[in-house]
Order: sequence, then structure tokens, then C-alpha cells
Amino acid sequence: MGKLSTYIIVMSGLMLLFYFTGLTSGTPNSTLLDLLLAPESMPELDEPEGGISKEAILVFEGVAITAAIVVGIVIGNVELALFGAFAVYFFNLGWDFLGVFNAVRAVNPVFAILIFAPILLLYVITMLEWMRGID
Amino acid sequence: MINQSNFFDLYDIFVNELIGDVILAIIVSLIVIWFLTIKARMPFQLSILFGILLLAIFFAETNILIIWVFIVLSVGTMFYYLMSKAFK
Repeated sequence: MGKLSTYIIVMSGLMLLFYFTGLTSGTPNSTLLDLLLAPESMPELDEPEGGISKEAILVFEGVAITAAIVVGIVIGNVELALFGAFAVYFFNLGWDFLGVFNAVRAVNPVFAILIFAPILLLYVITMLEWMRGID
Repeated sequence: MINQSNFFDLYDIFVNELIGDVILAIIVSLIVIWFLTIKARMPFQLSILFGILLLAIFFAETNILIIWVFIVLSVGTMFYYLMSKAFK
């Protein structure tokens, strides 16, 4: 868990900083944070956007987490249940990191691609290494 | 803006009269500051923090969103990276 833990801390922290400074919105984690911080404004969150909507992503992730936990418990493999839930969270974090990338790309595309392209590629490789157990 | 009541506006003299553009002034100032800090053999974290301080000063004067995004990005990356190293 060497590189992946660094990635999780940096990505989660950056996502929270960008969320609280008002630079990202509409990503799955920021929607969950909106619900957590202001549950009374839940009906206002439903805004139509192009591409895959965040509601679809959240529903997919909810189903995936439930399925992983149920299958893990039925088979009797608790590790699989934990692994599935963490894998879905990493997927969710990837979407949020794309939100941070988009916030930087909106102000300067060249700098954003120069900074974030290697980081995003390395995130994929780090995930693969983590799944193979050689991180 | 330089006028009769404000004739020693250093920011205006430096950015608008001497260099002529905000972004160009930021790039030139960053190069000068980093050159001086490297020449003074300061730690690289201090060099980066001097750069962020310069960006913060320019953001306070101009309110340009690009500068704010890069301040948040650099401060966040540095802080959380060092925090992850500290917890290992």
C-alpha cells in the first residue's frame, strides 16, 4: 500500500480543497458531500447534464458495493466484500480527480494536461499494481 | 492607478509600466525569485512557498481565477503529499 495510500491522501485532499473553494461541483463525491452538509437541499441537486450523469454513477456504485458485500458474505469471503467496496471507492475517487482536472483545464488547458496527464496515467498503473498485490 | 494622490504605486509601476502584462509579470517574478532562492541555497520547499506567496500577492491584487486555481492546486498537493509521507 505504498503508492496507493499516497494517491488516496493527495487525491482526497485535493478533491476536498477544490470542493470547499467552490471550484468543482457535479462530481459523485461532491454530490455526496452536498447531501451530507445540506440534506435539506436534496431536490435542488437533480440537474441535467451531458454525458453520464452523477446519479447514474452513484446508482451503479451503490449496486456494485451491495453486490460485492452480498457475494462476499454468501461465499464466506469477507476480504472480497472489503476489496469490492474499496475498489468502488477508488473508481469514485477517479471521477472526482477528473473533476479537479476539469477545473484546472477550464482556466488553462495546456498546464492542466501537462500536470495531470502523467498523474492520471500513473493512477491507473498504481491501481493495477495494488490489485496484483505488488504495490 | 498612478495619479496625484497615489504617485508611488509599486504594483502599478512594476506590472503596468515596467513589464506591461500581469501573467508576464508573474512569470518574470517567479523566475527571479526562484533564481535568487536557488542561489541562496534555500530548501526547495521554501522556494516553492516563496512562489506561492508571490502568486497570492498577485491574486489579492487582480482576482484572476487562474492564479487561485494554481494556488489551491500547489498548496494542496504539497501539503497532502508531505502528510502522506509523515504517516508512513
